[in-house]
Amino acid sequence: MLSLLFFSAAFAEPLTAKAVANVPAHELYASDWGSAGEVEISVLPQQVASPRNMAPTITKLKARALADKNWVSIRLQWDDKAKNDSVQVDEFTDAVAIEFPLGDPAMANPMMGGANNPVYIAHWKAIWQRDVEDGHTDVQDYHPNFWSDGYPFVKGGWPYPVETAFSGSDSMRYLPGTNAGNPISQLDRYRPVEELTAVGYGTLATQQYQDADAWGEWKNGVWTVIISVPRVVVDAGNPTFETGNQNIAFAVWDGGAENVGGRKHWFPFTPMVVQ
Amino acid sequence: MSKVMNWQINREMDYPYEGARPDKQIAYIFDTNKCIDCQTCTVACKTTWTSGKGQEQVFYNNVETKPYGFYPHEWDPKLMEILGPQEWKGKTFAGKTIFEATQDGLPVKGFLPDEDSYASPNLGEDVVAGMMEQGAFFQGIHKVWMFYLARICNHCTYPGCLAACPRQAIYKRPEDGIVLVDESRCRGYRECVKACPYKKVFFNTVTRVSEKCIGCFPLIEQGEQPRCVQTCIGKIRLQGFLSKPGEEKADNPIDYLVRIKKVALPLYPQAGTEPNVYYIPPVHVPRDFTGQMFGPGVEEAVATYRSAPKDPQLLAALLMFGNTSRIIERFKAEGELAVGWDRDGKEAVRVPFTEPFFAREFFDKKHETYRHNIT
Repeated sequence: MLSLLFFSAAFAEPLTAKAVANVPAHELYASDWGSAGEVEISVLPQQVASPRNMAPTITKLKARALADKNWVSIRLQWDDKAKNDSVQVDEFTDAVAIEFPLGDPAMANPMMGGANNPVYIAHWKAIWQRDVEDGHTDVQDYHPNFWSDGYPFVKGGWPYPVETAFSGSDSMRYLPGTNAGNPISQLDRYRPVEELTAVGYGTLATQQYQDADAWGEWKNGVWTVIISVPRVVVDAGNPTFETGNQNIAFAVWDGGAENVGGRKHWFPFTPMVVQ
Repeated sequence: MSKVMNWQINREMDYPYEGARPDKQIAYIFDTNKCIDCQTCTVACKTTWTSGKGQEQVFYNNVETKPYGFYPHEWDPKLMEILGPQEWKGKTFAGKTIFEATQDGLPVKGFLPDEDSYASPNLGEDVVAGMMEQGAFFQGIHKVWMFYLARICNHCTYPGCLAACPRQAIYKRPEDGIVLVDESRCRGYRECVKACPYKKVFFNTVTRVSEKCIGCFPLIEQGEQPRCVQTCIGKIRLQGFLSKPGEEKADNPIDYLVRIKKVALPLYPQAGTEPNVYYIPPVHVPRDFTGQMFGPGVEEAVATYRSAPKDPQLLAALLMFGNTSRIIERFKAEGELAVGWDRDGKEAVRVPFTEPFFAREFFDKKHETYRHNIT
């Protein structure tokens, strides 16, 4: 009984993805969103697995959902007094994620799934949103007056924008994460969302095919983010959204409170209806 | 938590993983008495590994002036502060390591430096411990002190960074004990940056993942010493391999200096990670300071170091420093010579205990000019 409570929870009314002709996937305040029922989610600080979030700063997520024949879109809103969309050693990005079970929904563990019941995660990051809108954040963005004598094998001139100056294989060697193919270190980003699969703690892995879409904006102390997942794709790592019931879980990170990785706020699997 | 044996603190301690010592452990000895802070090691490392964008503040190798130099800023006073007052009882550490002083279910106690802490790599450089009385410099030995501390990753036996990573993106190579970040797996959580007591894991703001010293493993695999060691003009560094406790070999210069003569000591052993860069402590620095920094063996190490001119075997081991690019696996004193061999059994070092002295005429007849330097 305890495990069932841990794995799942339910609202008075389930989150319902209302059928529309075309989901306004990048139109954060479109009228269609107002017509979808809103569900308020009381998120919890993640204190099950280390590292834990011992200082929660977010209490509620508001969710609405829409669906057309190709996409299921979830719009999430939450209060966050500061926009955190950069990363330095002591700066962390705001983020939000939705999670769906890929195996038996009754057995799926919202805490990163399990060996026999993997989970699908679509993870939107504020810094990726900034990357898509303004280009990859670079040293000169953080430190406009910085100076370096030079970089090996780069192209172009000062300040050697990383997206263009480091395009050669020789210079790329000096961007170790990028050169190793790490998705976090990718320089040319087209979508602010990452699709991942997990089969337990520490197993989070970026999917080979990235099919999801997302868009977000911080305005007047509120983040509004739409995450859209295709209803049917060939990709076996994605959920398939038939009309009917589905389970969904949530997580949200406050970069200003040093939330990252397991230091997050979350809510377990809860029913969702796709029209 | 598992119980593992940490020989540097002379007791078992808690660690999140089972103890598994590598077949051989990469280890370094730095002689603080010989370092002149030329930063050649820093430049050699920087130009080899960290010249990319986002690595401007990444120094796998740095040299800082103690007591007021730090990189990142105040890394070791902050470490002492978060651990609080601790006690050694003889050679046994009676306090709590970073794995034993943990809170909130975390595997390691640490702290995350702020961005500004990385802004000034040479802040405090050449700053001495106190004010000198007027004229003291000209009156012989004075009590005002400083020394240079060269630092790299310690390739710890029980790495804090590895213990803290929730993704197991950090691993320790079983063949040589080098600790590496898997650059394809790291997601930039910075738990490792927080956890490393020496702050030798860095966050790259462009690639958004962590990086650290790789021990120049491409060189190590060829039997060559790392770049920072090869290029050290002060010949303060020696890299080799440390045997497992109880398996020391008297002709291995690292085993001999670290475990048999105990002339080289670990940096902040009380952190509990069993660091593998060993320092010959500065002979002139107050023992209160070096005792906190290098543990309870300082007095003995300094006395042994001072005895080197009368100890041919010790002198021979110390002459392995900086005289070859090859990793020395075996050495011995042959009369007035120090001889070292590499892993292939090839002689790589043969140097005299005392270098021959040549004096030239003050006036160079051939070029009809006076020499400024005649020795």
